[in-house]
Amino acid sequence: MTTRRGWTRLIAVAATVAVAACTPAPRAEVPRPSAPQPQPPAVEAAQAQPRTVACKGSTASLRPDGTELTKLPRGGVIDQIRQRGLRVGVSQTAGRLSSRNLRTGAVEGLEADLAIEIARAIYPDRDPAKVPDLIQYVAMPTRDRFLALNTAENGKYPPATNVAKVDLIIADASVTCERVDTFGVRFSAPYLQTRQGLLTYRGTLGDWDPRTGITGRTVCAGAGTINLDRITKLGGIAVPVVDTTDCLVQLQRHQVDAVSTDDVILEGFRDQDPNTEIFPGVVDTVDVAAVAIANRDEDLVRLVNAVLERMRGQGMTRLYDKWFSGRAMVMPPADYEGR
Amino acid sequence: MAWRSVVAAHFRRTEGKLTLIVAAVLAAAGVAGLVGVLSIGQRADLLTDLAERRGAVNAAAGEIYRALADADATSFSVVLVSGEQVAVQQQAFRDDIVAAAAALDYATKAVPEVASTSRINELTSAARRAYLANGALTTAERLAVLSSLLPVYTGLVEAGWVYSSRVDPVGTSYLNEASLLARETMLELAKDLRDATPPAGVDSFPWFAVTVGLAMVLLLVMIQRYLARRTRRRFNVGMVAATVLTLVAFGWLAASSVVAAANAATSAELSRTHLVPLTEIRAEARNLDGAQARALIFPLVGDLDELTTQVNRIDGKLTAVRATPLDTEAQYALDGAAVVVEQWRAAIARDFSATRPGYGEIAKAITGSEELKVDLDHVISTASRQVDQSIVDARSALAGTDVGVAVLMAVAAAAAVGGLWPRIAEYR
Repeated sequence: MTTRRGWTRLIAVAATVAVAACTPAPRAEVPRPSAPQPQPPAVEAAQAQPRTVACKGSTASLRPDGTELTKLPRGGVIDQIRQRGLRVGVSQTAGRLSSRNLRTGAVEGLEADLAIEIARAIYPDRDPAKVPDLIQYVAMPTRDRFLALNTAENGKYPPATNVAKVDLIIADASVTCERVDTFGVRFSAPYLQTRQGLLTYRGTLGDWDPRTGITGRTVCAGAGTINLDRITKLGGIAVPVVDTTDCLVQLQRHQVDAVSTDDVILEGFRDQDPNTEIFPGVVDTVDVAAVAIANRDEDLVRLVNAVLERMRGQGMTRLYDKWFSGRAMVMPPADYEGR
Repeated sequence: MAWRSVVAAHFRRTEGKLTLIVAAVLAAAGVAGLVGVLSIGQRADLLTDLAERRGAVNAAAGEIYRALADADATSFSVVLVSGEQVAVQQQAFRDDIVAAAAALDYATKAVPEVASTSRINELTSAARRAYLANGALTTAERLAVLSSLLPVYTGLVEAGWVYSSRVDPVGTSYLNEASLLARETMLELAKDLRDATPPAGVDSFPWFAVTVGLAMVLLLVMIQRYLARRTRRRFNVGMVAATVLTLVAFGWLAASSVVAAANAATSAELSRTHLVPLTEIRAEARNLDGAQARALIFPLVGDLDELTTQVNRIDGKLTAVRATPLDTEAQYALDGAAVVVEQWRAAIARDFSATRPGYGEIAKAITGSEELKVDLDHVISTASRQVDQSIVDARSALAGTDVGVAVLMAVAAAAAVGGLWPRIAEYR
């Protein structure tokens, strides 16, 4: 028995050795890579440089004299617009402010309604129901918004030379002195009061309470916005994107910890993703948003201000209620030159 | 020490010298035959690899490139059409994704290497992504990276559709990011997956083998001159036969190598001048479809310039292909394509000018036709077949040559020995 078992064992060992000798090199392991993260369009363009000198321009607007809406200014930019149509730069991806219904092409939101009001003042002789067709909307990714205005300052930027020009930018543009200086913008009277807020998941993983600050957290905001600078000042890691809505994609794909921008835009984000929550009051400052116009088009600035002054009170309240119902909103006071 | 002088004395005699010559001829014939067989074998191996492994990868690369370009265009079309068309377009997109996955699978079967988990993760990491399209990647790495990007891409597009159908603007951002991933990374990776440059040695003249053959002939001629002096016979039939057989063997080797090289060069040239540019034109046409849809959905500053540049690029490539020699059928198809490009240019100028038609009308025009698809698909598949056929021709030109050379050299050696043996016998 012992001998037979010995032989069996010997044969088994020999077979194993033979098999091992014939076996090719061990096969490569089955790879188990992790899912690549998609990336938003790269931020690489010129933006307002941090300033070392004090701001020279004025954020004050031009006072309408009250005749714009009864007697259209002739021979200038208003005449050109009446001939070729009104070009309006909108964000197009900000829910409640301006977003495009892709199937119909219609742009909807508070800013789109504002554009229609302005267009009706420019075309008082047209059928009010057909006036929206005279508006050509151009999407303004957050970063490049102000380059689309035809100003002497923008002529200095190479990218601005091959940029289609718009007459008005209504894209939640905060009024800042830097923008006046850098891009040659003239802001209208403000139509919206905003505060920079924070949007993150409804329930973070426990190691972070968004109310306690953003130190060391990656926070996304549109490139070239004041929001981005404030994130850095508050100790957060600023993640710039070309268009603010790319931030929501980044948050949903867990590539950033939070998004920080104007509360009105954040509300639009929360509408689209109920798994998010807004934390207001990250920043104490109150911003105002106004229509941005090229500083050489003074007639247009006055006309827009006339429209806004006409809407102050009832007209604007109706718009606020339509798009931000349940939110207390007041049209900010205007700051006109030569008071 | 005595045996040494005996051996030396033996080789000083003519009989000994002739024995040495026989040995030399046998050795030379062996070496020449081996060199000839190896030369043919190496070329044949390269061509087999070109036809099978690289051929498979190239064919799959063309399909991945096509499918991704079509998918990119369709991802935008879906949000511009309505009704049942939405489901039809979505299905077309999914078909293209599955086609791309199947082509990746097909190509992977021809590439035995496996990229490691850490290498794939490194390549697809955010830090490396910007360089991914231009990086030097192995075929296995390219395939692995494409395989891991494909589901991510599909997820972005499907999310974009759902958000867009709910009129949520973030849908546009998803579609934009997806398109960016497809155009700037995946299509570039797929484009470089194709490698049609013939490997070194496939299209060159077999200088070394032919030199060895000529040296063999020279050796045989010199031996015959020596024999003529020694034996006072002008010709040795066996040696003459060996010389002729060697000439035939290496003549055959040279001729078949030249034919194979010419076929391989034709294949590479066809690939470079027809197949690659036509595949690119077709994909760029789909990119332009997508860009038009994007410009309508999300009009940006400078759209008209950008779209016109793209049409011009397609036009330039098409003109270059049309300037090369083409068969009638291809000529006809490409003339048709040129007309389509002109109409396209005009349509873009109209749809993205200040006096543009309404949104719905442009959307209909953009989603209504897939320009250049019909015109080019047939020409591309013909060109692809021709490229493959040339490689097959090259391979078959070499068929039997290795065996032929070996047999001829063996017979030549036998003939030489046969011719020399009676002379050695005379001295015994």
